[in-house]
Amino acid sequence: MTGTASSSSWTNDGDRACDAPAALGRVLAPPQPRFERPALESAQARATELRAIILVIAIFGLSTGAAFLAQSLDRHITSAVVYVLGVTLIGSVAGVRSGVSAAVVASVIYNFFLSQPLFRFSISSADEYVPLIVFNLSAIVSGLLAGRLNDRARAAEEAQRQLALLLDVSSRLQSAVRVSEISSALGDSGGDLADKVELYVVRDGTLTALGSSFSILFATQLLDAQLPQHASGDETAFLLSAADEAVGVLVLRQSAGDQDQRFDIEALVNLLGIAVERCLLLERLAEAEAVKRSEQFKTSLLSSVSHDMRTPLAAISASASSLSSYGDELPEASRRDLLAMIETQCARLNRYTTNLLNLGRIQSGFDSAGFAEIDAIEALGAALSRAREVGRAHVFEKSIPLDYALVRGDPVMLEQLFYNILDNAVQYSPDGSRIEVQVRAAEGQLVVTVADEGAGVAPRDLTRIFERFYRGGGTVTRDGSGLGLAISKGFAEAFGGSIRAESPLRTAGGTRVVIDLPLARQQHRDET
Amino acid sequence: MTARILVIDDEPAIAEALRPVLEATGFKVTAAETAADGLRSATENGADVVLLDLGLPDADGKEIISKLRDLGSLAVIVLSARHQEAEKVASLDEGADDYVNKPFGIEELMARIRAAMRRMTNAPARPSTYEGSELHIDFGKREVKLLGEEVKLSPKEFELLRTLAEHAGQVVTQRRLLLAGWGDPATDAQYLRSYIGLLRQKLEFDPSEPRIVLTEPGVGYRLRDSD
Repeated sequence: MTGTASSSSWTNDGDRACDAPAALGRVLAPPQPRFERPALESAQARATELRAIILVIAIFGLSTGAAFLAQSLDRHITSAVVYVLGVTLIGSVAGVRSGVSAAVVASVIYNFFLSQPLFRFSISSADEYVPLIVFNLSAIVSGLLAGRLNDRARAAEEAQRQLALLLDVSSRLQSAVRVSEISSALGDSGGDLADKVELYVVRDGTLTALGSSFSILFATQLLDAQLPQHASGDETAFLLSAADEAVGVLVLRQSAGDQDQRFDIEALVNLLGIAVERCLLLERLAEAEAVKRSEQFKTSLLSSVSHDMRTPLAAISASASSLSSYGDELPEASRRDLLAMIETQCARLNRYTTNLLNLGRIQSGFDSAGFAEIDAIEALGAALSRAREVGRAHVFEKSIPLDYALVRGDPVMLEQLFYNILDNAVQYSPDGSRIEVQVRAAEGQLVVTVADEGAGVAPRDLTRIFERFYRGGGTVTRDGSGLGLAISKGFAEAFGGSIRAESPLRTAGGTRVVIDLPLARQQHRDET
Repeated sequence: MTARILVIDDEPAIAEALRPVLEATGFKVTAAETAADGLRSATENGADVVLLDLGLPDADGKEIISKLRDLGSLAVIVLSARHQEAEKVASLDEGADDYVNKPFGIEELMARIRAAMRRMTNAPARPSTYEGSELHIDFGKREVKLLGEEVKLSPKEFELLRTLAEHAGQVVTQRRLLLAGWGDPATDAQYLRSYIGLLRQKLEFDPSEPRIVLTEPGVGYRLRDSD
């Protein structure tokens, strides 16, 4: 790579003599770094040019023919006027260069073939001078004027098209909130643009590629040199900056020849700079937010551990020390109560520890490679029998019309998922109330619902109850940690499913938790 | 008269675990799970000792300490977690008599309850002497004896020891000791640590492992209960 700017294809407005209209465009529009249009559009443009060339030739042929005819009929003035009209038409159709070229060719033909003496560039009488000069001047002036008019219109159209394209890219860039969306915004708006550009953003002082990174060395050199622009071969790198700070590098690859329809690269670089800066700022904001949330999580985890582990520990410690210090003085019934208390609180501690471990598993993510096809009906059955232990005073009603339903997951996690939902229903509904468990298969999903007759959940809390450490109010015994539903949600999502709550089910309250799990296979009871 | 104990804790398990021993040692036990219920129970049924958990569902336990104290002669012992030093100090400033770290053994709790009740019965008149198992203090004569042998204390050391002994078995906050020794609670706590060090040199068998003047980390000091 050299340090000097070479003549890259889009900065060099290379001449293509045969391409008169496009070449004429450059007369009026100063050369600028440009972006070529997509292949489809340039093919259309070439077809338009071809039509223009055919039209020019046709008009020229017709007017030459008409001039010859008029001359043969000895109508000299008509012959000249017809020729001038042809030149004017060509100018208006094909632009200045075509108009002037037509005028020159017409002058030569007129002088050589039409004006006296024929087949010579000489003038026989002084009378011949005036029409000849008038003709030549008229042809050139009218060709020039008509051509300029046409070129102005073309330039205006081109400017408008570029503006529309820029606006399009601009609106796409403005809606980008993540850095990764910037490159897709470019891809969407420019056809094959995405293949020709490489975008790099500055993160922590170094460049990160969005997509391919073939030219990362080139881009890094530009960033280190802090040059606004640098070209080498068919590649040019542009420094993207916002508020005097380099935020990224755009590398553009362009082969010579794709020139006709282009795009204002400077405006694009400016837009990209602003968009990249905004996305980087948003990224940093999101990171700060994530750190804050993680801190909040740690704080609530600590306070949860403090409360939820110390409370059973305090009860165990008080009971055990009561037995060891006062055992002999206590009546038999009290001693049994204290022992039962120790057992209950140990079970509670165990449950809480399990929940914390599960939470840790959710936090660190799952390896779904370890998942296997397991029977959800079996897992639900195990969870139900465990739940009956804690909900002895509740009435469980189940409707399970499937013999088995295979889902991909982990059997222990799946049982825990169901158990937490059932346990929650027990904790938040009064003794003696019903807990309905229903299972059905629909559209490749296994749908398990657990409905209770508790106080219900306020609409604004329907999603919050699945958040970690959220504990509902109410007057029922709250011996939960606020982790159970969050763990069920984490597990359901790990299995590719989802979980939601509906409440109230009737005027008197009630909550229904709906678990959706993707079904691998199922067997209906009546199909056996 | 049977002493009444009110346990205010959102976890019914705590009251249930304490009930057998408290009842066996002659207390009448009432339990409440919210601050509102606790206040109501204390107002209606009366209580001599309140065991108060700070993390209540309807209010911060600290907020009801002064309301409980307003009800008359009762002791408030806070049940707190070990890492919440600021909470403990705030509770003591609010008027709590003492605190016990969760989880606690029943013996520790019973000792705290006894100390609090003793102080309550002694409260009206300042005691003229302190009789510990090793330590004897005559407040009027400003005389201190350790295992029968007289110990010479500076005036400041004596004031600190007097404050601790008046609350024997109970925690005394740094703030309260600074007020007793220097008349200004904003005094640098380093002075207090130096004087406590001097006291320990004179009273303790091994000052590096104190058994009489105990440190309550982050809160203050406690003179070991004489029992």
